[in-house]
Amino acid sequence: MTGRMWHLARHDSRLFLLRKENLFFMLVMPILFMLFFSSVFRGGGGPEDVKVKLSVIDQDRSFLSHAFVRQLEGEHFDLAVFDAAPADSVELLRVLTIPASFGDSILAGRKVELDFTKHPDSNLSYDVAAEMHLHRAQVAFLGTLIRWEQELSRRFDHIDQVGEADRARLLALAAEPSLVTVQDRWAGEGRPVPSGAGQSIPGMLAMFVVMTVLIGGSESLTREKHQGTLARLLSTPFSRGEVLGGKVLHLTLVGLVQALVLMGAGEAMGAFHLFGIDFSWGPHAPTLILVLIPYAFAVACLTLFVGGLFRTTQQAESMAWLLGMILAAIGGCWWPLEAMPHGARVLAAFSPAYWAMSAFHALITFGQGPSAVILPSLILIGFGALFAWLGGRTMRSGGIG
Amino acid sequence: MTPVLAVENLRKSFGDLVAVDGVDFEVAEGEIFGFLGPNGAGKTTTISMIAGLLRPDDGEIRVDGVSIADDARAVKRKLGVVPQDVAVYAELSARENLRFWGGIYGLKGQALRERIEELLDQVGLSERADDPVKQYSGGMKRRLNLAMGLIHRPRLILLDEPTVGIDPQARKKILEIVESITRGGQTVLYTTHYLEEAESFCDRLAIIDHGRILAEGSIAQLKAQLGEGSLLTVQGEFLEQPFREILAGLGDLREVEITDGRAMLLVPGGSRGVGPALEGLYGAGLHLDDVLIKEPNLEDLFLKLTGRELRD
Repeated sequence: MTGRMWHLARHDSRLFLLRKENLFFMLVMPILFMLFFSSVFRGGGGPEDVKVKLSVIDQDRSFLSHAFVRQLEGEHFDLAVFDAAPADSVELLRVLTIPASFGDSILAGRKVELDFTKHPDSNLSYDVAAEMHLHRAQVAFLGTLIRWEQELSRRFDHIDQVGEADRARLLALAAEPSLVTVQDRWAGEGRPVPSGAGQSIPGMLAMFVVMTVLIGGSESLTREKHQGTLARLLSTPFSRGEVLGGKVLHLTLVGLVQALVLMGAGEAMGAFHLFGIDFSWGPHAPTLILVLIPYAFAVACLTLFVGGLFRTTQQAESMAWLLGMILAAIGGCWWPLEAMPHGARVLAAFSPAYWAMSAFHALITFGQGPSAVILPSLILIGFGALFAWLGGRTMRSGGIG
Repeated sequence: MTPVLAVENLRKSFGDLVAVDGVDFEVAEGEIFGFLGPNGAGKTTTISMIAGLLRPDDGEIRVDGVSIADDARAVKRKLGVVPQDVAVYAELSARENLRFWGGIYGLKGQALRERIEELLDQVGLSERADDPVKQYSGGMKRRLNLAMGLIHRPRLILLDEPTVGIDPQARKKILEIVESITRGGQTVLYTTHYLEEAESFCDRLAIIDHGRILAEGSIAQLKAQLGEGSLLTVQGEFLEQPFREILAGLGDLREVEITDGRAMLLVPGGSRGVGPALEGLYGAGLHLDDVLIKEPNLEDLFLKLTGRELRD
């Protein structure tokens, strides 16, 4: 059975390579897209560049709380400060509440608790980044307080006892570089949300695997139906499963070759800093193949399904373009999955590209190990099985077998 | 002796349309069996079921005694299918097409190369064997289409209207190739709606219409169903019913088909009986505009069986 499928896959691959438009689509266009998007968004995208939205409700409104807010400003927050909770506070993504007792408690040496709340739809990675920034601000503020206390001529028990000069000195110290800093990093590239080349290169790879396989494959399947060669194949001793399996094997190989070409192109762009692009697939690059095989398989089976639905190559190609764009967009190929709202991420789960991108980000950006790709790979295999079954049915209803 | 092909009570419907309605026939070894019928008669649907492309609703197909339902792979290995529409890879050359299809049937190496050369020679494509098929004429594509079905020396060749839609010269060439195949003693199921092809190649014929076999037998047996004699076709200003009444008074003349203004009659005793028959018709007061006398053929039998012409 494998030999028969291989015979067909090799033949189809040869036909695929004979068509110049397929070669252009596989080798030229995706690399141009990758270069363009990576150079346009080539900013590093590290924590220094990420501004995390944070709303601060300062119920204390003392010079101590002001000093703490100044410390927060030194971190990478996009701050909005309120004296009291605004009417729409439940809609705010992240809220830090400084209690009214903040200043007095610090001066009295009593424990004080800040309240940090997150909206259910807030981006998890940004939330984690906010916690890190908050943690750094806390440490810096403690350092500032220690320096301030050392400079004080006497000890104060109540906030009203602190004179203007001492208050101004605390604010000045809060603006200075902290003596103690916390260097917070993600394992890997240290990006709470993939951006720049870290987003666009894997995104273009995932998108062009879909586009190349879906457009080229559905066109060739409908052409084979139209010219009668598919029916002729089914009149040979090859079973229907072997014929369709051979088609899926060929399309999976096309997807894999497309992915490997773009992996190599992305690595080369990063290695030679083309247009200032800074990128590497990282130490887990070989593990990517564990995702790419099921991803290419899922897209190949989807192509079988789409190819079976239509009678003419024009119909199939038009639908392939449209479907490919939609799957890439909702799958997070154009923008980071982590930056998408909750509802869009639910929808995205229906796109194979989403699972491929999740695995890419886990490996490349978040530096997770091979275990992070197990679930996406299993889901992609499930997608493949579902589309293969649907493809078998559409091919049959199209009069093939 | 087990027939090479045995078809029993074959049925196939597409929704409300009954395409094949209880077809039975057998093809013996070395026999050229023709399937003659107009477009839409059920010929291609029957061939598609024999080729394993369509699943019958009912009935059985056996090749060399093996049912396709029991062992489709074994049956298909013995078949050489030549579809009605040219089904070749246009980007590849004739040689590459033949190599691919030969590989499907397990041919390889020297045996495959020799077989390809033999077929290219047989269908007259040796000189253009390495050109892309998309540069071929319609007739050349048809010849390649034919060669592809023969690459593995099949036990049973299914030729589905191999000459449809091509110019007379290309048709002549295809027919020469088919003749050379049939001279080789291979078993062939040949579908056509061209009467002269059926009469010139086929040992036996089945006339099919609306999914049913209307008549089956050798050419001579089928013609005998019309009876001995000459066919007299007359046209004039008459109506069907009065013409029948006149005919009833004219002794041996037999009706083949009568409509208003046109009648086809079988005249016993051949051309010698035509004169008295015409005298009888004129004598009855009929005014005839046109008179045609000819020997009966399968077209006439088809008309008698179905009430319409083969090319309707």
